[in-house]
Amino acid sequence: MTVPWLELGISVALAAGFACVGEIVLRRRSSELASWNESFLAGMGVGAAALFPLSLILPGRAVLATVALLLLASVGVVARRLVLRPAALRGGSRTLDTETRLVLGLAALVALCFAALNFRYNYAWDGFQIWASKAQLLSVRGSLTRDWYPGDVYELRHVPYPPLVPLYEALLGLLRGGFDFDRLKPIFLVFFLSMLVSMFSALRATSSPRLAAVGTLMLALVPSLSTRWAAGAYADMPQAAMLAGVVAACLSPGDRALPWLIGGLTAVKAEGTVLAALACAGIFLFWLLEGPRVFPARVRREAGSIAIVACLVGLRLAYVRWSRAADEVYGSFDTAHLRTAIGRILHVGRLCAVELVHFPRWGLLWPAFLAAAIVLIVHGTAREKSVAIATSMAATVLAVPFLFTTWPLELHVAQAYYRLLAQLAPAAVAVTVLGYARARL
Amino acid sequence: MADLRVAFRDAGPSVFTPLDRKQMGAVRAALPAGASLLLVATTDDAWHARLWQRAFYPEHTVIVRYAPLRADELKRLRDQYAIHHAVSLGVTPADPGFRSHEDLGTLPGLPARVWFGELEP
Repeated sequence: MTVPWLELGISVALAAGFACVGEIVLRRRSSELASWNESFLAGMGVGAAALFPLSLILPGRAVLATVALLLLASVGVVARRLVLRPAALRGGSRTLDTETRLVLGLAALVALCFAALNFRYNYAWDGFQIWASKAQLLSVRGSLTRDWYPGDVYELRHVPYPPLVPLYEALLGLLRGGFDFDRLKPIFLVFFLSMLVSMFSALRATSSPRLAAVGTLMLALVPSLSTRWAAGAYADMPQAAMLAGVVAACLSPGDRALPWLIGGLTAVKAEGTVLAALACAGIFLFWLLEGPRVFPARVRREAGSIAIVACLVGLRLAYVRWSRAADEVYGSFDTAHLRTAIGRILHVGRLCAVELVHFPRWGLLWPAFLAAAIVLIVHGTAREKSVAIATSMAATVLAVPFLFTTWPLELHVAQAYYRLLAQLAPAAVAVTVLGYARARL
Repeated sequence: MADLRVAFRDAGPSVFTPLDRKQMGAVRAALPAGASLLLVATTDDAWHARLWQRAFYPEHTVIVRYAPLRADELKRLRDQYAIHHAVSLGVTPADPGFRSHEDLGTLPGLPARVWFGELEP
């Protein structure tokens, strides 16, 4: 195995640049790994969302403009740190007991295995044919465009795919002096580590370090996030990393990164828009549960955060509309398709249920999640209830598109549902661990 | 474990195998600068068709079509992209109108063969 050290270094430098963008939009000074990680995710979401307007304003130079933004943000953050005194460390003692260290060590070992697999494993289909290809187009053309490779027709459906992963890959290509399909994998190690940091941070906010470490190890061991498709450069694991950030922000009261991270979901994969809508539904539910009488006042107080999410979702929808790509995978929303969809409900439900109990892929994660969700809905705090309900809704809502698919139904569910569940896995693990903690009380 | 076997026994260090590079190098050497290329493949060889397209981009435009290719579409593509050369992939590769062609061997690990040649005017 050859470790691409140069590209790994550039990927980390780009992550630092995105984190600096995050520091600026979040108007804060991070002092620990968890908050730097959150800034990285927020900055990357903003950078990817900004690529569309930049492509309109600076056609052919949007990727270069993104580099300029990262540089400016980095200079700004470094200058501010040189001028102002360092921020005080948040939180209390950093001491972890032996068992927690051991479990975290195991999670680090899994990360090392992922790294070994990632640097050696070939591209899987979408990783090459969609995501890295979009990165090549972005790299050559310098901005988002309305077409795919010359002469392609069916593949035009890939044009409106969100640009976060391709942008990161194209930036890596630009900074290493040339785009090379064989040198893009280091970014996936960054996403994997970010996902684990977010998971620990999410669970640490509400439970003991030991349980947080166990949850982190559980997530690291989910095969669809640490083996084939993740190592094959698919965008599902990066989407899970962004969702892990959302879960961490949801479980930390008053975390101002939350709206940026929810908006960031829409920049990774198309279904991120659905996840963003469900996250918003979960937050509205939390506000309702926390104080039904003050709900309108709460909504007014959070108008700024709502505007951030609306702006990022609006950019995503504008990009889809601008791309003018026809979707041939899902039927139109008319009476005939609705009738077919209704007739498929039970069949799709059964196919998805079979996937949820597919032991080699998931172990007992989803049955455990279901039990934990019930515990949290009955006995949890308003915050825990909301996360459990939103995650359960997501597992259901993500199956709805199959009702409208034009593909052979069994094939489509078999190929896609477990990848959708993989994106949701950080929330499922969080609910499972929180439910266990609540059941022990 | 299955993934480790794929990664460390079967997978190579590049998405383009040495044989891919050799075949692509032969085509690249024979193509005039900036020339467009028609690539006809069976749907079984879709991965390699797109692999070739990405490998030649942006120096050469590769128009990918799956067999069978209609004569009117072939004419339209040739006119639109000024195509004079083609690559054909398949167990028995389709003939999109070669004046002559060279057999570059099989696709890596597959029975499908790679033909390259100049098209009839």
